[in-house]
Amino acid sequence: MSKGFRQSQAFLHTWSGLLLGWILFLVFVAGTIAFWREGLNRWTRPEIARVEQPMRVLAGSQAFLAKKAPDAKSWIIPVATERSPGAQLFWVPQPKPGEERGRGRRGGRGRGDTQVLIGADGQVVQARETRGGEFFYRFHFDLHYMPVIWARWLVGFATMMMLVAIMSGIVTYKKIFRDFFTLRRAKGQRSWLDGHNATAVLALPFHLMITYTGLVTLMAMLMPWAVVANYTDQNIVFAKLFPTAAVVERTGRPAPLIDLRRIAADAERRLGAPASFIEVSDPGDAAARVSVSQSANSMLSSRTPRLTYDGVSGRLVWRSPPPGAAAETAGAMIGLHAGRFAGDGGRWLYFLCGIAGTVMVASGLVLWTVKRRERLPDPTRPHFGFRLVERLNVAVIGGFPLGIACFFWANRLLPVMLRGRADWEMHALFIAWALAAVAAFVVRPARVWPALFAATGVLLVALPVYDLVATDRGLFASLAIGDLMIAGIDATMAVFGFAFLWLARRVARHRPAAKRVRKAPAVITARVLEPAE
Amino acid sequence: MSILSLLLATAAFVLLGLATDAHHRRRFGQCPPPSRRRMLRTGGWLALVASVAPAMLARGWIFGPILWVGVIMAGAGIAFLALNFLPARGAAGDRSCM
Amino acid sequence: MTAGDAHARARWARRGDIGLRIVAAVPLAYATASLWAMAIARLLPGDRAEASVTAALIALALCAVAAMWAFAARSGWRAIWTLGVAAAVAAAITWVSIDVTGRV
Repeated sequence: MSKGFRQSQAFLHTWSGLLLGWILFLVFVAGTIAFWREGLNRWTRPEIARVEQPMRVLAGSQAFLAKKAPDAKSWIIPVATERSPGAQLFWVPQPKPGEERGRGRRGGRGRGDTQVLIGADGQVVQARETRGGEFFYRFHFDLHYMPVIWARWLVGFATMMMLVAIMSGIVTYKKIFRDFFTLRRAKGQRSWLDGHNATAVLALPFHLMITYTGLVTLMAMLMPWAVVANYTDQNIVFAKLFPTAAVVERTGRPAPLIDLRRIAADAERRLGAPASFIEVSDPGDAAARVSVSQSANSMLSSRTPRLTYDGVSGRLVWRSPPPGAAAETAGAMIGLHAGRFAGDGGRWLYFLCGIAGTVMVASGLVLWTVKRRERLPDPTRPHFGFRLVERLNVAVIGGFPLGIACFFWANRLLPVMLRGRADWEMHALFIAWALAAVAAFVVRPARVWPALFAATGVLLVALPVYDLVATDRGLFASLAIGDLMIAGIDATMAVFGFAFLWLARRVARHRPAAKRVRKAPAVITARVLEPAE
Repeated sequence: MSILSLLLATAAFVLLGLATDAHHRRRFGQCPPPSRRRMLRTGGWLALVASVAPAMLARGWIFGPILWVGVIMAGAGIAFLALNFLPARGAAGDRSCM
Repeated sequence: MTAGDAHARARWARRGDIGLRIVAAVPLAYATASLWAMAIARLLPGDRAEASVTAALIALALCAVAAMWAFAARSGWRAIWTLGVAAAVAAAITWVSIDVTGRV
């Protein structure tokens, strides 16, 4: 491999990693946390009981919807599992005459007045309003405070840069197999480099996979041209790739809807796997249809088989055709990205790899300043680019985790009856982050880094303590009833809290190496070490 | 079976890591002689290849490879931590072994 | 020309070269990958939806590779014209194919 090629890729690696690195840090942090989204959905609602009988939740859901929205156009009922807080129901009212019949798929975010959470006892849940784990899942591609299309393009663009950074990093790192394991400690630039390399190489298969599959999840938006080349109408290909049973017109003749538990049981028997979604169209009508989708936790591909039943007689009328190889491959890639197929051990591995990825991105951003600081002609007056990167590093790497800790605290402390409570939890995150960012730009980094890490650490460690004293879901209570998920979240927060406190101490104690005296002051030998050295 | 795969993968990376100058010096106090280095490397690669079969046996054709990739990342991580953080007697020094 | 002028000229030449490479790596790489997505979707036999999905999956990787090429090429101009030619070839294939067999 020629030196010129490697040098060009080293240059590319540095800049494709740096320019949107802060966005990538946010995506990695939120995405990694989102692996525990169901658990967090429960953790953020300490009032609710664990689901023990999913069928009871289903019966309660049907009873509720039959009373609340008997003439709806469709009901969407997730099948509760012991991991979920219950069933978050949506319903779509009948379109008023003259209103546009738009496609009902809105990415799951229904209006506030057409959704409700049914709990373990089959009744409407009385719990604090919160977005819970869903916030982190959504944030890692929709971001916040901006139209989702912009956010997805920004995240998609950043993801492509990440893929380029990974691939150019592989090409550049000539010792990838020889010095795989090296970790030189307390050696400034070289230690940062080793840390960046270690987190990058040890989880390299994961990083490549998560980045490329991340692009695949946004493929319809990022690369629609392949479809445009073959189809004049996007709806045709959509129907091909996501087939549904034929739409039946509403008859207007009322007929009782069959007990959904019977359909769920029959579907699970036929599929040989748990069901995840039940969609009822035109409930209460003679033309009612019930569609059941297989759970994505039970297979690799995210595009799961679907069965459609007659809603009155319970007869099976349609079964989704097996997808083609390419569609299955794309589905498998999305499934790999989401990691829903993974059991507990797999989920922990995904989580650890996500942490490695986060550390990789953060250490890369810091490495950029560490390398250049050692070569600054005048360390007290660095050039603008250096200052900007350094301050952004503090603001994002130091500030965002603090914001997240504040999000969790807002979840605990905001009054339950507060209107727009869920939104205020998120505002709390961004307000805290904004304050941290202001500090990052106004105060010296050497002061702000340890302050932000210490604050985050204290807040995170205090959370499980709060749970112990102020809720009946403390660590020991959860362990006593065998609720390992909630106990695990409390324990993990404590561990991260201590980690941040340790980090704060390390940073506060760091004494930069004494500057070497320059022998030839006129010549600027700014030789920044290339990534491979 | 999965555990077996993980053990083999971890052993593989420990052997491969010991074949490198820095870690060999750290553990054994001397630079690795070429024959020893060859032995460690061969053993390492053999163990790595051997870790594939238990993973496939544990989870089949689709999830087997996924499990194996997870296992080698986990094994590499454990080996990395063991090699770098378990206390050793050798004084490393920075001189090359060539 | 003084040594300082020559130094400044070299700096601007380098910046220009990098500028060209950025044009090659970002909009041009995406355009080239998109056009090849279309060409591959046309050329692959079999079901049209399947061909489109396959082509899109390939194109995502192609975009990253094209961006790498933009910096590996010997010069910025070379990066631009090679990717441009690749894009033009894909466009031609797509145009002819759609002209001959049309779309669904």
